[in-house]
Amino acid sequence: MNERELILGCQKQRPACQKELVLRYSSQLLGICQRYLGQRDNARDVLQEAFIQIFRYLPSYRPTGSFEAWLKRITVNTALQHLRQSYRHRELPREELPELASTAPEVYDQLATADLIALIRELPDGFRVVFNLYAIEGYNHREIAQLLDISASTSRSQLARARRWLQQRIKRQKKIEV
Amino acid sequence: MSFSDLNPDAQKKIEGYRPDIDAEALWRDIEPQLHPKKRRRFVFWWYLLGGSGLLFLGLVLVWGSSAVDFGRTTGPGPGSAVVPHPPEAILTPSGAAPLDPAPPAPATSVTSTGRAPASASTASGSFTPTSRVGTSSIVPKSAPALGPPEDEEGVQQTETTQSPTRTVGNEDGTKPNGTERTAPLLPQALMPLERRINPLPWQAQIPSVLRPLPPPPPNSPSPWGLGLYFGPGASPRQLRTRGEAGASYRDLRAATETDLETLRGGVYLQWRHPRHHWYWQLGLEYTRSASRFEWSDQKSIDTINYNGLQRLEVNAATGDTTFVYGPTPQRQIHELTRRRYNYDHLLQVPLLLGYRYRWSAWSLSAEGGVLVNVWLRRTGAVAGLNLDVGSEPEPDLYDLGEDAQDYFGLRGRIVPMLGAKLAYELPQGWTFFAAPRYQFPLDLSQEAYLLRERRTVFSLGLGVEYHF
Repeated sequence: MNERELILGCQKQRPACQKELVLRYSSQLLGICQRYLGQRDNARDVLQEAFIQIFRYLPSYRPTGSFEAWLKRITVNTALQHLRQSYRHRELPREELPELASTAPEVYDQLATADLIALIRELPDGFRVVFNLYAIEGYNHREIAQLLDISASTSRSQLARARRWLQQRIKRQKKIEV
Repeated sequence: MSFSDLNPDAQKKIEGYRPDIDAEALWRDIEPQLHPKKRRRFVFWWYLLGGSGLLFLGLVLVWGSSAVDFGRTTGPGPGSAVVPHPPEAILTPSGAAPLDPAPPAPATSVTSTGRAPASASTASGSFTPTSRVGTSSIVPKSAPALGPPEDEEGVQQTETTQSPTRTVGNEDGTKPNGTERTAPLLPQALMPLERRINPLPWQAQIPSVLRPLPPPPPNSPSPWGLGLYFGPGASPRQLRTRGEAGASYRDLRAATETDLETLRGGVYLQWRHPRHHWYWQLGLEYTRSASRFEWSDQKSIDTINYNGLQRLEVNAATGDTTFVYGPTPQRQIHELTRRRYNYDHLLQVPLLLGYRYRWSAWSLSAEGGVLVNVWLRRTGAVAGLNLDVGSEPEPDLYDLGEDAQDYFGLRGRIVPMLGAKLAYELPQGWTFFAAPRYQFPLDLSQEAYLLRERRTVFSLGLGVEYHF
């Protein structure tokens, strides 16, 4: 079943096609959920909610762009929605982080993907979302500000803090390895 | 800070990261939410309709088979052309006087035909269909009195029937204590009229519970009656635009509009002509009609940026051209679909003239008249069908009940209607009926409305009528 047939089948609410879509994309979308959600959140629950949203709005999907990108966007939005709801109960970290020199991209490259994901998941909520949106999804600060309903300067400072936090962690890990 | 925070390889690694997941289990969790057991929204009304029908049938049969009170019907009405019902037979134990004084009609002493008559002559020999009395075995008073029959155990079976109700005496043959016992005569309702009036000899032999009774009263004493009815209907509507400007909207609605349920119920006051078949009826009727249509629109949202050419700078002095690249907003157009529900609440006054033809307990009426509209209230609700992925999702359902409006402009609008009524008349003035009806279209359009809507209602009313 190719992608077009899969989309058409899902638009017609065919359970076989819907199941195929879940089997095909669940792993990839779970990766996105894990990146956006912290350790405390259940990424699988959010993924489930994301699939519900996907099937709900699939009938209005127009194949103008990449289907995979559309799925990712819905998943990201669902994760953000989840975070937005849980923000009320959490406080953003105010810890003072020392200024460090910028980490070279190679440092991230040296880490295994799973370790990198684990590190990202350890990031505090605000840092993690901004880092994901900016460094991985490629949004700029203005867009992030709109998405998260924060100011662009807050987005910048969150990103800087996330960067410093990651640098600290990587350094600590390297020391342990040495 | 820039994209160089992660080099493309690391970015790809992260994007391509696929943790293990039990997708089958995930699907098992998702499936029930996607395909819940279909609830039939209007199954309730079908049950109600079926239940009403059964109730109607049950009441007809049970009431039809119950003891008949002739007290209300023996006396002729003022100037009535109706034949008074013949007196009920009196069954007494041998030599015993009836409990009540003799009935006004010529007395006839009737020998009981118990469930198992001891003497065959009781039934076959004495059966004389000398009157229109529907009881099974009647002999003149001068005929030799026969003793009460005995059942197989030798116990005398005495049955006393007296006006206005049939009374069954004690089973031990002692003096009846007057306790009334209603014999279930279920087949009575199903028995042909001719056999009820003139039962065949073999019918005189049948047990009392199956013995035919006289026909139901030919008419009710009072011309005044009250009725109550309820029923579903169909609402084939006609949508027309006021001008060509709204043709696309009309087409959209015509293509997506679905009529849901139309229900109505009402009360009425009836006056029946005592000597003729005509009757007048005035009532108050409430109709609720629901429909649904889907409305679509497009919304453009800037959601994604990509690196593209932002501007060109040309140095006028040197002629150098600089291409400036940067994140460029990408506009996406989203289709928004809304499902809108409309509910019309109508209050109307039906004024009808009918003609009733009776056959035995059944009657068939044809009626026609007008419905005068006194009130229309329109309410609605909107349900969102898709998500605008670029912004906050809208609430799934918000009620527009607060936006309900009363349209008094329709007050006084008159529409004609035609109907029929199939009724079964019971003793004591009760009648159960089923009444299909056709109502001519009612224009519900308003000045503010683009569309002209007409509601035409084919409907079926089930109800009860009481003449007091």
